[in-house]
Amino acid sequence: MNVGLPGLGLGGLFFVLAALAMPLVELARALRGRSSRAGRRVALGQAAMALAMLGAYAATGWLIARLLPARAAEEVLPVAASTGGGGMPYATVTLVVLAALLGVVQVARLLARRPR
Amino acid sequence: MNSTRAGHPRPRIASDDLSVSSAPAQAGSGPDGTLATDGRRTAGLTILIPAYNEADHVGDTIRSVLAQTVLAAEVIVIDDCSTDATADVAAALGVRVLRPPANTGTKAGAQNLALAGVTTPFTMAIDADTILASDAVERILPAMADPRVAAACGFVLPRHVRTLWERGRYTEYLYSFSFPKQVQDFYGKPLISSGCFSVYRTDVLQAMGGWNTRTMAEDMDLTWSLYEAGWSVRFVPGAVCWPVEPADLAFMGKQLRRWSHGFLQNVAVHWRGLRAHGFLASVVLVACWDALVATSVLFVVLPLLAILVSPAFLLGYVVDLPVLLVPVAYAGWRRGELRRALASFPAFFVLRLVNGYHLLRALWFEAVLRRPLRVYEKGH
Repeated sequence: MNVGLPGLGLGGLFFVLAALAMPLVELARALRGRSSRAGRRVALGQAAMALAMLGAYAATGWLIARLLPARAAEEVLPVAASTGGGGMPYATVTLVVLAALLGVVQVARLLARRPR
Repeated sequence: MNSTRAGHPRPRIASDDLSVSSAPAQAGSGPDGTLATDGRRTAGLTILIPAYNEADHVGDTIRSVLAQTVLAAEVIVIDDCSTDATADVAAALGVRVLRPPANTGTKAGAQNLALAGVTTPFTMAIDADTILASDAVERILPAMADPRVAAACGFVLPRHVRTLWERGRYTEYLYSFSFPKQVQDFYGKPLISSGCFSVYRTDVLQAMGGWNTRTMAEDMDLTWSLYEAGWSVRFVPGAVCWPVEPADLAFMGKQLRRWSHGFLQNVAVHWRGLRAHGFLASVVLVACWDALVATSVLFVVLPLLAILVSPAFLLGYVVDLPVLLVPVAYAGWRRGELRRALASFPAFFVLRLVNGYHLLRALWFEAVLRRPLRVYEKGH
């Protein structure tokens, strides 16, 4: 089974960032003597995939900005690039929300480990 | 339907539970109707195939199991009081057929019926409409050589890729199993050990009471329960299976309704236990956020912006198209199915909308109205 909306929303961003971190995690494992050839291959492969996805994301933004009629661009791009929250760019808000959710998880982990 | 082998070396079977025999432990007919006496190894494995009115598919499933490069010690079809010829088809192929006195109501119930009598070290559960690549068992079993691993799952692709819905599901699986699931496995937490094709450590599975029927997604429930009990689960991308996926909107809706409700039910059951598992908890929390926010953007925000500001906001439905195309095209190319992957790609965006609708609906019923889904309906 699959859950949710593959590729969309914070979930897509989460996995891209997690994939980009994989070589670093594998390096940490290597320093602890826990790396493997298969693990290194997967880490580099998925990180490369994530980089390609980010490149596609950037190219899409560039393409949309160039292909949209001037009037539509004036209406769409400012809304897409900023939010009502102090004019922070959409991408920044997304990252902040993701960081906040991950922070919640870390707090929950600490609370779960606390002796009763 | 052979998968490509690029990047997936032949596994070495290291498990002590494999023994060499000149004939399969279970005398059954091979695909050509003859007894298999070709010296294939037999594993300490029992394969369970729960079935309800699967006469059209169970024969192919059993034949794929009997054609494996590594054989199971026993294959059991649990005929959950079918009203068609499911039991006859299974019996004709020489496998053991169990039939409960009454319909158990769920796949989990059927599987648990057979699980009680399993004595082999490993138990595999396969859906009755799922065929396995001929080396699927051989490829998945080495993951169980690690004593910390209690379950392992494989790569899933739709058996038929013809209708809009099957194509959407094909794209979804290509993306999910080639990117997010591999990331999950790297971090030690595959989200789900797929119910259509997974292998388990029998004593662990029996100690946990088998598959729980408290949610509509018993495979997710079992996977998360294993994590909470300190076990590991692995994803083996080289072990491939092909289930029959819903071919029309009505059946797709039934399946998505069950999956959406099942996910939320599992979050309600497991949220405390998941707190200690950072990566998994992060995946689940982000998925919950998207269930509410991303679906709201899809069905409320984008339409409003398109009407009130500019129709160009409809681009929001497909703006991530190039991003998703990268893993889908790569996975399709690796499998020698690039043309199929590209042709199926647009269908994914339709399926995603339907998925989003069912997720929002499930959120409304489970979390707001407190009317959980309790009736198990398969997708075909």
